[in-house]
Amino acid sequence: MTIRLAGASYRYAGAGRPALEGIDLEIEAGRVVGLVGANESGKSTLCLVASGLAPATIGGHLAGDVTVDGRETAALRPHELAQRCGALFQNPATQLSGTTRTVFEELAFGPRNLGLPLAEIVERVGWAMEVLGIGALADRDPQRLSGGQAQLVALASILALRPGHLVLDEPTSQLDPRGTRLVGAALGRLAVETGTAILIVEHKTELLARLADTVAVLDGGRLVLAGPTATVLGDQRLPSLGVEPPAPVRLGRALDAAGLAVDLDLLAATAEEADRAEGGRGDRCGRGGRDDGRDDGRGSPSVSAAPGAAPGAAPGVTGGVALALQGVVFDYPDGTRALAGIDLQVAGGERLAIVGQNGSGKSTLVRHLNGLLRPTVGRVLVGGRDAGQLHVAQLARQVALAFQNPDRQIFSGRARSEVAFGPRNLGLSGAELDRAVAEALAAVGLEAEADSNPYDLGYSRRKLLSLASVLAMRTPVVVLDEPTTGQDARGVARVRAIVATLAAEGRTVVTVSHDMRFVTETAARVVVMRAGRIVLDGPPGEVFAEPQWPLLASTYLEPTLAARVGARLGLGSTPTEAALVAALAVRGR
Amino acid sequence: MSLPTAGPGREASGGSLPDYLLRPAGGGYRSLNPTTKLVLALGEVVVAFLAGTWLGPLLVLAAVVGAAAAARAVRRLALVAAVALPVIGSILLVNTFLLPGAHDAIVRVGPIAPTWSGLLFGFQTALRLMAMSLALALVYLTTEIDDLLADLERRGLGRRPVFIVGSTLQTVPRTVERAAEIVDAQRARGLDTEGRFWRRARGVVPLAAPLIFGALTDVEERTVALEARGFTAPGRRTPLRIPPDSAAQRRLRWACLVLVAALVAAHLAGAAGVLP
Repeated sequence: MTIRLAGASYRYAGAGRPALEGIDLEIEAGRVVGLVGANESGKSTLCLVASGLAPATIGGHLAGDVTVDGRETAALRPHELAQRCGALFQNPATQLSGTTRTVFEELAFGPRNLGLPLAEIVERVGWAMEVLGIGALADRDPQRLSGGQAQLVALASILALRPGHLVLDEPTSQLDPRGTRLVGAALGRLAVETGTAILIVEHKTELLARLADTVAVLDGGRLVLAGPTATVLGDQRLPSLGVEPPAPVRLGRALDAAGLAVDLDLLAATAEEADRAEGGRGDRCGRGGRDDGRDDGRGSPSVSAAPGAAPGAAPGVTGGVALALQGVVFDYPDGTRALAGIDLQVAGGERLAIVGQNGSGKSTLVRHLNGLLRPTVGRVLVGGRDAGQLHVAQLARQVALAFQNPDRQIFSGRARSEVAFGPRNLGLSGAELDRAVAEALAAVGLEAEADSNPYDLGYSRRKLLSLASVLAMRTPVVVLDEPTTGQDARGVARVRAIVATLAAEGRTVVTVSHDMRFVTETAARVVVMRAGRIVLDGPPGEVFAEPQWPLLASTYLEPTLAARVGARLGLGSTPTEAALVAALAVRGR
Repeated sequence: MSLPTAGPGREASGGSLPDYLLRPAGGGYRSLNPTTKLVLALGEVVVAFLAGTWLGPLLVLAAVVGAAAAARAVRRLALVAAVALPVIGSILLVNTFLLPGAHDAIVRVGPIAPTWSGLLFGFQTALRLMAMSLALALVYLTTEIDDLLADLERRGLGRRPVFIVGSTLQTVPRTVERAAEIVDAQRARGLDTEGRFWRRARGVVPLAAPLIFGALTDVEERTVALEARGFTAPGRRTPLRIPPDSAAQRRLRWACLVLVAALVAAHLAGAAGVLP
């Protein structure tokens, strides 16, 4: 049972040059192959080809051999391929059928298509839900799930087909850290216990380090590196290929570069300890989480920290209150309580990160900052003025919000005019408008694409374009909702640099993210949410300190590897790699 | 740690559907077979348009409101009627002022002359359209889409037409939700949708493009996803549940179809006009 590509090249219909060239890759039964590479290097295309969907379903031209279990994919009909090779793609919203009323029926959709007996369908659905721990979602409407929950349901829908092979394109991109671990553990067990061959595309190399037997690197449509996981993920060329090495490798290099003794065994042991601590299974999908990160807040534990007022002034804070939420409760029209009493002050120039599990209320909270949502109880102050007295368009002069999904925002036929839309609404014109647009495009690295049609850009660059659209508004407060989702290492570094620049200009930055490394390295203050409440609030050094780990775990978050190593070595709280290096250097002296 | 015991290849153990999929139908009109409701709605539409000028639409409206009351759907039906009011109003206005050949002016102010016959024709047309809209809306409001699809498929409609019907019906609420999200994204960039009319009108362009682009992208990606889930497999899909049917309902459907045929024939023969 294998998937095999031999000299495979593929060109999309109408494209001038091939998206893939000369790919040789074999995924044997029971093996997991990780596929990494920069954005638009051809990873999704390789998934389409390996699963037989290209060219059979989407057209284009394929050269070379692609076989599943020894049979040419071109000779198999789509439904035959579906039973042999399950394929899952990036956007969970489009992976669902859109015709079902409950998650149970969604999972049954594939097996029903195959005409299986009802009893077998019921058994398969139950099994798939159990594998991913989503039994509590069974009677929920698939269209009312948070992004992370929908991603788990989409994966379970493929598992219910029980294919011999799996081709998965970023199956954890919208999951919180614990959700990512859960999916990794489930896939690992599938491979070992059922002999499933798995090809998985991931930006999260820590996941691949735990899961994959081998890793291949794509660059410009060609495989440029392939081999055992440890070898490839430890290769020095990885960053130049747009791939971030996993935390132990990165940390080892940081320590090495600082001239500090590197105990590789310690790093490996700490990473394994984290796996053991966080890798527990269980039904992780509570009843509360729903679309756009909403959560009903029912049954939430009591607040265990003293959140609310801004902690001690962080670097760059210019003073004055930029944002304040006072006793904010928010109920959706169906009665779902998404925010259950939020008190929060954000100082001007502060860099604040909001974290929490899928469906904890993060997105709901930030939509209150620019008036898109109004509190059911309590009030929001923006620049000292009651937001309830201002239109959204008026608040947009103070607070700019970049949404998670760029495709809900982009409308123009040219990148330049897309970016100009916001500042023009705010009254900019002429040379000043041109300058704002040019600077924003340069900040996200899209200056060469100013005259391109945004829809010709890949998802990650469309996401950067939507970020530029917000930057060009030059508001005192910038809110970024999951800005690193779908970005490769270069994209994440760029977003990190943008946050640093905004902070240096004295602007307030609020980010929502599941990427704990990004959070610890960019934020001066971290707010942790659970079930519509703030349960922790402080600088990264306090929030990610060892005593808080159980609380972090309760909202499906994890400390960084640097924090774990620092705690193990008795160095105190070291949430970032830089903090760990500095602490070791001090001890060395 | 290992996988749940039901691994691939395990024999099915005779599982049954969870309770929430076997929900009670609700009784009355609501519990009718979906195809019965569709056929009744077809009959109502034909009656509203062909059975006289006043009698047909008034009878249909009475029947629809009665069925809605039995199904406890009057409030939602009233919402549909409210949404249709602007269209009804425009039909009345256009016909009252512009009906070709009408000369019985109610009042004459310069070149503007609303007519009695225009008002009457507009009222009749509006009544028919309202009866038709509410008859179809009642089916939509009281029927689980899944049940309708399962029943149509059971009666031999292919899985592709069934999917098209299902996804089209689901598209309405999804599109409304998506439009709201897109409006939010543009408002967050300073688009004033709370200001004057021309400002709001200007906002239509930024709303429409992502809506259309998003829908097209969705179709493309969903097509691939459906293929990956065996949608094109030959043979009949396994139904999860079969909506109840009965001999009485079968007779009712046939009677309704015969009535429809008779009305069409009468209309073609010019006999339906004798009704009030």
